[in-house]
Amino acid sequence: MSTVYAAVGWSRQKRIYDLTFGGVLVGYLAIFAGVSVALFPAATAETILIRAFGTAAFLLLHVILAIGPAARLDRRWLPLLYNRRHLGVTMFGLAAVHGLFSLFQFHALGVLDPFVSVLVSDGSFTRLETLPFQVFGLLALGILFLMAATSHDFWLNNLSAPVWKALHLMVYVAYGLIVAHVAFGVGQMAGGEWVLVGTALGAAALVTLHLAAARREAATDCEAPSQAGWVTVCGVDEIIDGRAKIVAAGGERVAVFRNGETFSAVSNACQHQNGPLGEGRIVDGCITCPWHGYQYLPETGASPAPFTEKVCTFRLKVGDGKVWLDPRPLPPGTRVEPATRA
Amino acid sequence: MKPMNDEFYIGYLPKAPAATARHVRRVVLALAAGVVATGAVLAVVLPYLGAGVFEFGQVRDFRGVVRCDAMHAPRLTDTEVDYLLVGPGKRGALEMCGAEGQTVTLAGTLITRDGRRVIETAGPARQTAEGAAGSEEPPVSLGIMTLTGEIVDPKCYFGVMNPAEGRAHRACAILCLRGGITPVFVAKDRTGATAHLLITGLRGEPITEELLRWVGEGVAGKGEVVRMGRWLTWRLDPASLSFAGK
Repeated sequence: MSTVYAAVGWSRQKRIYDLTFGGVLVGYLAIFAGVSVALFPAATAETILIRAFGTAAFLLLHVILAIGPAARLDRRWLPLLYNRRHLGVTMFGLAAVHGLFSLFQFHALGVLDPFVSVLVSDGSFTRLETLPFQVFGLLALGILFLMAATSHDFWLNNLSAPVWKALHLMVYVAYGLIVAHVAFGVGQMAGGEWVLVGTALGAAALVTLHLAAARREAATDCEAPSQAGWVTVCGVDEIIDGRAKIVAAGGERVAVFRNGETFSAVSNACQHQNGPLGEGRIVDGCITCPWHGYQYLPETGASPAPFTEKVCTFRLKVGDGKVWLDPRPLPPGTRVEPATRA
Repeated sequence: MKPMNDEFYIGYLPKAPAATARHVRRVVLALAAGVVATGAVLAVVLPYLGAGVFEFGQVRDFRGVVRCDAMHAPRLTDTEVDYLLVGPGKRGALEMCGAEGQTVTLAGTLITRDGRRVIETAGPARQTAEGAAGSEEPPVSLGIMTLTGEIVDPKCYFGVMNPAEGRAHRACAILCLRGGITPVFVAKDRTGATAHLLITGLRGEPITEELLRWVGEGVAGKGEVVRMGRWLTWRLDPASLSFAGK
C-alpha cells in the first residue's frame, strides 16, 4: 500500500523476486541460444533471437497464468502472485522483441510497408493449415501492450478495479491468439509437431488448474439459507479468530471476520485488484488482503489513514449460537458496530 | 476448524514466513530447472533448415557478362561461375538487365548454398573495356517434367536466412518475390535429393503473381525444364500447380 505513486515500490522481497526471475530468464535465453549455435552453426543470429524471445514469452505466459489458480489452491504460492505484474510486463517485453525482430526480418525492406505486409503478405485464409499466423500474434501483442501499459496502480485506481480487472482478464484472449499463432506458424514447420504437443500439454495443465480452483470457489457460492431477511453464516465457533468465513448472499461474496469476540462483514473483493479478502487475516487490527496486503478496518471497511481505499460493509448479528448477515450492502466505508457474542 | 497452514504472507514485509519461503524456494528451483531444460529441448527440436552463407558486410567486386532470361532473371556469368543477381533488401535486380550482354564489374555481397551462388548487388553495373559479349548459348530443353517441391525466394533460401523455407518464412518469401526477386523451385525427389530451378512461364515470361499463393508450401507442377548457362529453368504452367504436402 502507498499514498503516492512510484514506478516500483521496492522492498527486499521484490528485489529477491526480480533478481531470481531475471537470472532464470537470462539462463533460459543463454541455454536456448547456446544450444542453437552449437547444433546449428549456420543459423542466423536474428532467427535464434526471434525463437529465443518468442519461446521465452510463451513459456512465461504459462507460468503467469498458472500462478493465480495455484495460489487459490495452495496459499504458499502467494509470494509468486505478489509480484506477478513484473512477470507480465517482462513477458510483453519479450513478446515485443520477438515481434519487432520478426517485423524487421520478414517484412521490412520490401515493396510494402512492414505493418501492411504483416497483414496481407501471408493472406491464405482459404485453408485452415495456412491461416496467416502473424495476424494472431499481432493482435495478441496489442492486448499484451494494453495490459503492460496499464499495469501500474495509477491505472488501477483511475480505471477502477472492475474495469482494470476486466481489461486484464483479456490475457486469456491473448493466450488463445498466441496458441493460434504458434499452431499455425512454427507448429507447421519441421519439428513443429513437438511444439504442438507441448502447447497442448501446457493448455491442458492450465485448464485443469483453473477448473480445480473454480471448483473450490464454487463451493462457497451456494447461497446460505435465510430467515426474515437475515442469512445464516455459520456457528460462532466455526470462524477462527483473525480469519473469515466467506458466504454467498445477495449475489455477491461476503467475508465475515472474527476479531476476538466480535464479528464484522465486508465485501469479499479487495478494492485493489479484487483479491479475496475472506482468505486474508486480521493483522494489527486490520483485515489484510492475501494478495498484496491491502488493509481495511473491520468495522468501517475503510483503509486506515492516510490510505483511502474502501469496501462495502454489512450488518451482522449473533443469536442462537450463530452469526447472521443482512445481505444488503452498505456504501463503502460505512461504519457498522461489530456484532458480539451474546 | 484447523487451518492447513497457519502462516500468512505479506509481500511488503521484509521476510516471508519460514515454511512459505521454503516452499517458494523449492517451487522456484523446480520451475527454473524445468524452464531451462525446456529451452534446451526447444532449441533441439526446432531445426534451422539450410546451411547457406551470406557474407554480410563484405562487399567486393565481381566481373562477368550480364544475362537476363526474358528480362526476368538477371545473372552475371563468367567462364567459371554463373551468379543469380538480387537487389538490396527484399528487391530484385531487374535494372541490371539494362546491361544485358555487356561485360561489367559489379559491387556486391556473395550468398552461397549447395554450390549455387547469388550476388546481392550494392551499386550499378560498371561497364568494362571488353564491352559487349556474344550472345548466350541458346537454352537446351531437358523435357517436360512434373516436379514436387517448394517455391522459395532465392535470396533468403541460398543464405541470407537459415531457415528460409516452409510456413514461417512464407510471408517473407512472398514479399521478396513481389519485390522482383526471381522465384526458384526447390525440387525434391523421393531420396531427399534437391535441384534448384528458376521459374518462368511457358514462354519464359515472369509469372510471379500466379505463384504467390503456392509459395512456402509443398506443391507439384508440370513444365519444360531447360538448361540456361549453369542454371536450370522450369517453364511452368501455373495452372498445373497443386498442393502436394511436404
